[in-house]
Amino acid sequence: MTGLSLSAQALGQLLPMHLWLSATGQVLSVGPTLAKLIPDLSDGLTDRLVSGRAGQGPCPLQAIRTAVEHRRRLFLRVVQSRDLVLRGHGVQVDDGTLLVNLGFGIGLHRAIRAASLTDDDFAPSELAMELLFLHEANRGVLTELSRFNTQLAQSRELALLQAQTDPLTGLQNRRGLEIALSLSLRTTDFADEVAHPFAIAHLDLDHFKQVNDQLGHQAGDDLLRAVGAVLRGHIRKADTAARIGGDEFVLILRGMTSRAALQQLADRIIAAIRALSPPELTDLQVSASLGILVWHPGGPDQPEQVLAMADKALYVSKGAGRGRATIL
Amino acid sequence: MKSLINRAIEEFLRATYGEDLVQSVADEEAVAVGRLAPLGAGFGTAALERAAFRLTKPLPEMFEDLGGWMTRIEPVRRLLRFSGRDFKDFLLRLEELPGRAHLVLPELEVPRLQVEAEDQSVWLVMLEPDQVWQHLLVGLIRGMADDYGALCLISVEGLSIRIDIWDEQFFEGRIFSLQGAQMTGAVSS
Repeated sequence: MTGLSLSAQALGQLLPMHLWLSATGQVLSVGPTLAKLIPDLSDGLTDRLVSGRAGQGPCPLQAIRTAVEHRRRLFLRVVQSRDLVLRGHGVQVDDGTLLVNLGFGIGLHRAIRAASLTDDDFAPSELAMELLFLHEANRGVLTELSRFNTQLAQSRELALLQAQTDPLTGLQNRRGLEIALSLSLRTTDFADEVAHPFAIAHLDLDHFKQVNDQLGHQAGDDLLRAVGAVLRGHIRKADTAARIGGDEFVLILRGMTSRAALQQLADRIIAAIRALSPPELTDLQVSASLGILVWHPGGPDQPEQVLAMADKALYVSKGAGRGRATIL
Repeated sequence: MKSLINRAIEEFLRATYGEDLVQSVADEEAVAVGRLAPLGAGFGTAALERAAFRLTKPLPEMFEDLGGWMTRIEPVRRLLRFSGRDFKDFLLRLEELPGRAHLVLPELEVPRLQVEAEDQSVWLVMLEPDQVWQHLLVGLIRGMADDYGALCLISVEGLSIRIDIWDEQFFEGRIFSLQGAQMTGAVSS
């Protein structure tokens, strides 16, 4: 078998990342791409490369010799860009010299940045271009997907909100109320594991049917919208106002346990709704009846029960002549 | 995956013909289907047909324009440039396109391509004939010729696309470095 004989130029073409050393460690030849990365490598390994594997000592020549001798993978760190570790392997040539071929591995991007490498710097057998292609393609697709995910999440949020909103008044609808009421009844505060007291007010307009019958549905809708605005104006941020049916409204008032305060609030709401009564309605006046339940921890824990009790109070108000509030 | 294609079509229409056209196409779609399209749907190839009809433009031209527009989207352009060091190399390696596309979007079915070459002429033969892809590819190749700075004549011959290269470096193409600029949004034409 004849030995292999290559000119330095052919060696550089075939292995653009090679390093050829004499037995004593003198640099005989450096591949063109490696030379781009470490321009003065031909002057010697010292201070330009160190062993990239822990526990071996820093001497690059020692690392190369060990790798060649034991047929191990070789890791060499580039001193001038410390985060770049080249990997490769080496063989001993018949004349005792050492031929090492290096590659970039996962550090490819750093190497390209550090030395402004181009397609021409890589041997055709290297998968550099494919790795770059995949990297950028993945990034592009992921960016698009995460953008789409964000959009989905936003529109889901909007849909949820719409599903819980009464389109006419902008208040919560029955579903929104059920969610708010369930949350109020649940022991959410982990510190004392007790739900907070609240008041629930069930409100029904008096003589709303006549508005619809005598003045038309448009007038009825206008009135409902105006009542919605009144209710919104009388509650605080943490409270809930909902329209759960034709002219039926429900308020959840957090922490409101004072009967006097509730009575005052009911009086103000009734007065404000009376003021909305259409002047065309000559023989009677629109007003509101309320049934209010003050809920304390330990009270009924089902939303339907709580609503039914407030409803009962409302009927007491209706039975007692309307335009008033009954507080249980 | 579908959402990516739909978005590409939507952005193409928006960038080329403006928001008004996009809206009217979306409205027509909603009327035809009877409801608003869910997010990420609705801008399929049907939208291109509607747009072509509105603009009284032949549909094949629409697909060509879409292909050309894609080569001006920086991330897409870069992916295409990774596939060839010069225009000729790019054409000869178009056979790899289905494989590359599959790596990125496994569900995208790109028809298999076969490349034949003679002197400065290259034929791209579709092994699964597909009109849509054919016109899309014509636009794509035309866009990439500009990108590489090549002067060529692109013509459709039956089921294949013929590219006659007059000058590979007729003018300075767009700059391409492996390192790339910081990737911005998907659309930057």
